[in-house]
Amino acid sequence: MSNNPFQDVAIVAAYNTQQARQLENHDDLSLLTEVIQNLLQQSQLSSDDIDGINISSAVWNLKPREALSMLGGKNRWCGNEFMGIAAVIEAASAIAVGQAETILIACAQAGEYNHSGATAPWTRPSHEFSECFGLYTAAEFALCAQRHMAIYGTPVSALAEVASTIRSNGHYHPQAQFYNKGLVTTEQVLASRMICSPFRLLDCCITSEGGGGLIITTAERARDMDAQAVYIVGAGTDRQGMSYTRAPVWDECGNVGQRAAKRAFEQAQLQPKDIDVCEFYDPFSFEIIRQFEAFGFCQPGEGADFISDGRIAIDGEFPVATNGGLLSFSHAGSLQMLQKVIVAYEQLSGKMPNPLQVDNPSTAMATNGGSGALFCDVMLLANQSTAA
Amino acid sequence: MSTWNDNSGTTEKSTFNALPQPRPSRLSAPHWDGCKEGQLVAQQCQTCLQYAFPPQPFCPHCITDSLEWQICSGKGRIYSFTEIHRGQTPAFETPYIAAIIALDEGWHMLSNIIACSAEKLSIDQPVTVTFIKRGESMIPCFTPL
Repeated sequence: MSNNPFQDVAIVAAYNTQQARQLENHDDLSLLTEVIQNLLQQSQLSSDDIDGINISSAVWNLKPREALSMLGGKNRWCGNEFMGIAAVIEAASAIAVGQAETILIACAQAGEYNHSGATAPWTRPSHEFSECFGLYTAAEFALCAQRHMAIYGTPVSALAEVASTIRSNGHYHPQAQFYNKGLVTTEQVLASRMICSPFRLLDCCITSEGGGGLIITTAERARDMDAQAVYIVGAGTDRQGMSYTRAPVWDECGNVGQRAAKRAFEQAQLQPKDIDVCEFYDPFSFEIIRQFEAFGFCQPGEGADFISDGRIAIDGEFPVATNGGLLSFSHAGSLQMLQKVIVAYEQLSGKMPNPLQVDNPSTAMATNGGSGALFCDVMLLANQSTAA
Repeated sequence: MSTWNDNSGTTEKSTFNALPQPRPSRLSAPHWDGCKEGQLVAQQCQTCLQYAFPPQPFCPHCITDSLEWQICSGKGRIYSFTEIHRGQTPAFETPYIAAIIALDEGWHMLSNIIACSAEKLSIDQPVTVTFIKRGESMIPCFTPL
């Protein structure tokens, strides 16, 4: 018996543009154009079929309410949440309670990061109790990793195994920024230059430009469409306050996402062992170790052992960040948050390029955020409806 | 301020030459004023005696509005630290050490450890506050005891 409050709202189309460090001759609006046109074509829906949207871009500063006019002046539902899983939850909730039937979510980023002398602007928030000490996103997450390493003896070799696994996935994905740039070994990770201890260059996410989006609708409508449906079977959000405004104290933020994951698993009537694909948010290698612990896949302090021996590889028990994630697929402002849902859809609908397609997966877990960011959102997806 | 509202990357280069200054809010001004006096101050709840930092309008622990600014010892321990080799901006001389300090009074803050190399630091090591002049401001940093 299902407890799923989303009533099997289904993703029926998903699309990514090419991702790259810089996309020549593109800006965020041209990328959004490509995404929206392709989503409609893929789903064979017309713009009239779309009765809700959440479209945004950070560079043009396009807000969903402004973006409504891109599809013509019609009556529609409009999302408010910022991108990623939170926006998909908001839209799925709106469909589940009858506020809309078919919602298009899209996001793009290009042209923001053009001064490589400093860290990317969206990783360098100007908050009075962090900025003046030279903190930025990687350093905040490093403070969490260092504490975990001190408490549990987590070795840097475990961080390197995560990074090499995920970065090697990106080598095989044609849309990835690091497509065809070579497999990455743990030795290469450990030999890369130090950014902020314990993180070396290859432990850290890249910076990218790109666009992406998806369309969700009712399970009933999805069955009538000639499209592959993937169902939302559970979700949750954990928030502890604005990211990077205060010290990320491990005792408080180390388990962020635990409450959200528990709710999602209860809704889906699933357990961690039932998950076939782990599209976990991977801003830094350590966060994969943290999430396996926080979500109950293993006990606190056991994450380093848990990820070892190929368990998180494509052919392992719990493959992670199968498109290359933030470490080698893309990290474009906030788009990468939505891309965790997009890649879960691609895995469950059998659309991943080989050799990245996991063998016949039926469930996936997508996540956003992390310890240093003081938030974590999760979504569980399945290729079978939980409805009788 | 959110980075999302100002995103024309080319305009920000001018700010890279100088180290960032604290920009106190109405709530936080007493903390930065205390730094100028050479004192580390934070809000303590007069009802439940717990501390609140960053500054809050009311006690986040017992929700009473009895927070008062108190002078703290400036002593604490390193909760976690990271040696930063890639500076936030070119204005920061690398490497430098960022840390979370667990103050003896029971609250935490981000800061820098100065006058000590990372090899000589360990988690839970005792430290004490020292104030560094930056423009018109004084920045609270820490050194090992």
